[in-house]
Amino acid sequence: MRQYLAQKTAGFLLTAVLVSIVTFFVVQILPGDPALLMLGTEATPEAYARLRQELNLDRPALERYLRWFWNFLQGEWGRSWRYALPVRDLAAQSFPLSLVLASLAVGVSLLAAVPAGILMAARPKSWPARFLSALTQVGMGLPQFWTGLLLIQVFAVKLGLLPAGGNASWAGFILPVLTLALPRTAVLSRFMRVGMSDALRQDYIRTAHAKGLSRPVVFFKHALRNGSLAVLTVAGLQFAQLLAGTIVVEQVFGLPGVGQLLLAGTLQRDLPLVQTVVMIVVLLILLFDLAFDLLLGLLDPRIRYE
Amino acid sequence: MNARKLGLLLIGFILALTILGWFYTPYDPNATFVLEKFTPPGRDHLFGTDHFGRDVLSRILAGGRISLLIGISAVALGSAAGISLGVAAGFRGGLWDEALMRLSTALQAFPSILLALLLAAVWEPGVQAVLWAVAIGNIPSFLRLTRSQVLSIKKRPYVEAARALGARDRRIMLRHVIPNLADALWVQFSVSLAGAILVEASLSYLGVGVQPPVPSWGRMLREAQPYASLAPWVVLVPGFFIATAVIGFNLLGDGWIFRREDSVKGE
Amino acid sequence: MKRRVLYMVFLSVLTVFAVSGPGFAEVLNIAIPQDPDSFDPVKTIAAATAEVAFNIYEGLVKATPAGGVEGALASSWTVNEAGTVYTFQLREAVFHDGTPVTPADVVSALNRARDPGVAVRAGELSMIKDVRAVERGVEIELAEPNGAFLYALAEVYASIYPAHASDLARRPIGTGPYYLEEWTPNQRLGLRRFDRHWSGETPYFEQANFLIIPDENSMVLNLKAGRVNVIPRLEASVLHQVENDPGITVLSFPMNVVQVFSINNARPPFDDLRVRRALALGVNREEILFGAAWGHGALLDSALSPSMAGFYNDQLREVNPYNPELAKELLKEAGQENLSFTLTLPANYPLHVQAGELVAQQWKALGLDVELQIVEWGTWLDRVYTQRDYDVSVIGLAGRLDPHAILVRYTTGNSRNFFNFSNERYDELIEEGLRAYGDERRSIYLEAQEILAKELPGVFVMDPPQLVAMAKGIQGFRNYPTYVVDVAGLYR
Repeated sequence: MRQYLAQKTAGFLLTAVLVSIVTFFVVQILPGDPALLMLGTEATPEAYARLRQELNLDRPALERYLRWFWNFLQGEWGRSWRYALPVRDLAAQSFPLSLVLASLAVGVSLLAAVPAGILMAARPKSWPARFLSALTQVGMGLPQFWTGLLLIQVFAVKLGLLPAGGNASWAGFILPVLTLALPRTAVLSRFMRVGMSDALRQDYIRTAHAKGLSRPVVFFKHALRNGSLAVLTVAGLQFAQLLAGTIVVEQVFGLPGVGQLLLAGTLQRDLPLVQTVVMIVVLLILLFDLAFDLLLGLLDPRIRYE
Repeated sequence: MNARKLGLLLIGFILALTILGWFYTPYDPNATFVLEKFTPPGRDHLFGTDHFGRDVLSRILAGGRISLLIGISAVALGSAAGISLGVAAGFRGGLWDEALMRLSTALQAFPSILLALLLAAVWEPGVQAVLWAVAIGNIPSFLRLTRSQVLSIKKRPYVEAARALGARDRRIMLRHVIPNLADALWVQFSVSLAGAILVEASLSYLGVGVQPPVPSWGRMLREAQPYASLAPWVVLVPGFFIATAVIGFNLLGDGWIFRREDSVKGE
Repeated sequence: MKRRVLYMVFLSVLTVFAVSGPGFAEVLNIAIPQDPDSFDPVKTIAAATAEVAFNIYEGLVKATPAGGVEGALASSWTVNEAGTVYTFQLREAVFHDGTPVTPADVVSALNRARDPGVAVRAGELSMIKDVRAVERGVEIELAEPNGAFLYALAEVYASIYPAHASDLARRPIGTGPYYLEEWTPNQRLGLRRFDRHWSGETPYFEQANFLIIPDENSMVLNLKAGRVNVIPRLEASVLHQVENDPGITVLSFPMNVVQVFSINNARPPFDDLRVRRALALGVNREEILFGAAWGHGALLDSALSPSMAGFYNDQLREVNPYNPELAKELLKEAGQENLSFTLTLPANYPLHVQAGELVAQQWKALGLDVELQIVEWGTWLDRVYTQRDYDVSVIGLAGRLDPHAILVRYTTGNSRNFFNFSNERYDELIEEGLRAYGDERRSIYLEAQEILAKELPGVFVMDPPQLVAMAKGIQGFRNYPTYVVDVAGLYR
């Protein structure tokens, strides 16, 4: 076990350093000069030269990387150029929001997808099942900005039931979470359905039936446990992708999440902001992944010795 | 009609239109007639005209090419890279495996939209940037899929036998691994294609997608969004084609899954 | 009976509270598409900052809606005969932190604003030779008389803040009618009424929130749903969604922005005036105005917008009429009938991209081969603005209060002259304009505009419309020739 742990942790650290190098240099080699972007169409050569100096852009890239990485480790994330605020403050504000959005979206999807998937697997030819599977198809077929605007139009403008945007109250989360959850529910319920129907065909289920266990017991106790494994894995993946992947919904609903920060930062070549935020996102995902692996290793000894 | 047939029908329809668009469009898809903007669908313009008075049908025909081209080539590139890396990870194991898996996790965490933004900055926003962003974004899922299949196939008796007989890895891969992968890969292909078309639309929404005057369905939908209440057809038509293509590809994927189910049931 | 009287009393008390009571704060929500950059007046460049900062900071003088200047922190001022020494009398005013405004604060703020080591736009105050504190006022000495000086003092960078302020970028301290209470990037700027403003006037709204909503459709839906009360800059493409809505008022003003197809005058064959003229004659500006701005906005013939009322030359309409036939002839004369070139467009400005798409079709009709190249804003600034490596492009140049600040861009060798335009007579005029006053100054700028219209550094297209959408009942929107939203004037 100790060796397994060491190997996983080493892999984690190696990837983290590698990613930091890639991120830093990719962001650095982007054409479009940050100083120029800050000055816009009013730039003069003097102002430009001074700003470059102020931003340390005149130092060699390697030196800037090492300095940045060292500072990052120490938790000194510097000041965003675009917002003139410490990156730490910006991150502290946007990451919780994105975490909430991602968890709610995946949670709601799971709650809806599991029963829907079970129904579709248990009675595939019934009308509700057919209706649900048609609905999931449509749910996956529509671009998110479109569904988002449509939901605002209906629930905020026409019916006046929910806020059109912002996160001033919990009600403000309902529409964005719905927008995010719709296509994900569709994906999850399909996985649930496939997982369940696979499980139902396994030998041990037949055995269980043969042993005379009642149908509901077999269904919920044995098949469900197996069927939901795939769904949970996919849901975990969706969560990871949502962490920084809700840009469209943030734009539509005016939410200050990680996506907006990254979008604005990249467009403005706000190097300290983009590097740090990308690093945090990647680290979070890697940690999540590491924890998942260690847990698996703990649960299933075979994996450790593979 | 089962899912696969319906999927084939929808995709066949989309492909036929796209191929038609290669040779023929009723009007020049980029010709603007500002005075004729928002002409409702009718005899002259089957799907009406947009905010510049351009013929929507012509733009759909020409735009399908771009949307599908991006989808197909991006998924082809992404899957080629993903499959080879997945085979490498699965066969080599050890540190290779560890590094590749971690990298693919990191890549998965990196939103494809951000990737497109970065690429759009390196080149220029447009087809190329979108294509590569979608391609790179597709690598992890193909990598993981291939790796897990390789791991399970590696242990099967006939593969172990082949190895014992001195067959080379490449041969084993071509003879045993790839054919066994085919089903799962087909499903992933169709799901990825559906995803690619939606990502293209999202990128257009953020302004880093395909750029004018090149028409793509995603861009058309984005440009039309403000006029939804004024001229519903400018939104409904591209929306319909996007949804049809996505649903078609998804159904194809489903079809593969359930075809397998059916054959198992028939045993 | 007794009960009824009590009830009436109760009701009337309630009404009084509802109208004036402290428990019923009037809140105004304004939607803007993006965040300000920094509230340090000498560091900020983004127009989005100026828009909000106008309510927080004040200078010695401030802009008026008519495009002039009036006293703000200065109650009055005198000029010596040579026109080189201005003496400003300060009002009794306090900063948001409660400290009084002293001459020393003014001296320190203005010195910081013209220090090239700190201030981004120090160059625009380079006419100042010295700033001195005097009894209840300041004295500013100029190197030579300068007609643009007072206008420069009304810009954001000449705002006055306390000498002891330390973190202006995040915590601005000014003297304006509102102060910044809370700032959540990408979401909200919360402004609260400053009750000790020197004017003694109390703006109607106690609280004003600037909400950041990047999506223009979402902005309109928020207005309709009542979450937003004012959209100060509505995209023309969503205008139709609010135009006929009984609950929404729409106002339209010129923006004082000059949209121009800039031409690289240094690159052959565009160094040939006949080619530039042909491009100008081939542009159907009415069509672009109709197609890209929905017919709102004003056509331009030269580099000043009609909103620069005192200096605008309105006699240039017929200099470059739409005339494709003549354009083709000129191209033939210049031997450029088959000219092919690239039109570079900045991707982040839908208005400019749309104008570019339309003009490309118009130029193609002349037989020209136009290739559209859409680039990201960062690339545009790098390639077009700085390196000047382009054929033709399109951009909107932001207006200023004073014509000099706008027109100096076209002088030979100016660092902002990405047109590479050069005209001797023009350079002389701009030089003279600084030393002239009144009618003389006006006629100099009229001639300068005529030169630009005839010599064509680019093709001037339009001043795009500033469309304001407000919930019915909100009144008092004041339009300025600069990029601001004046919250203090609004009431319900």
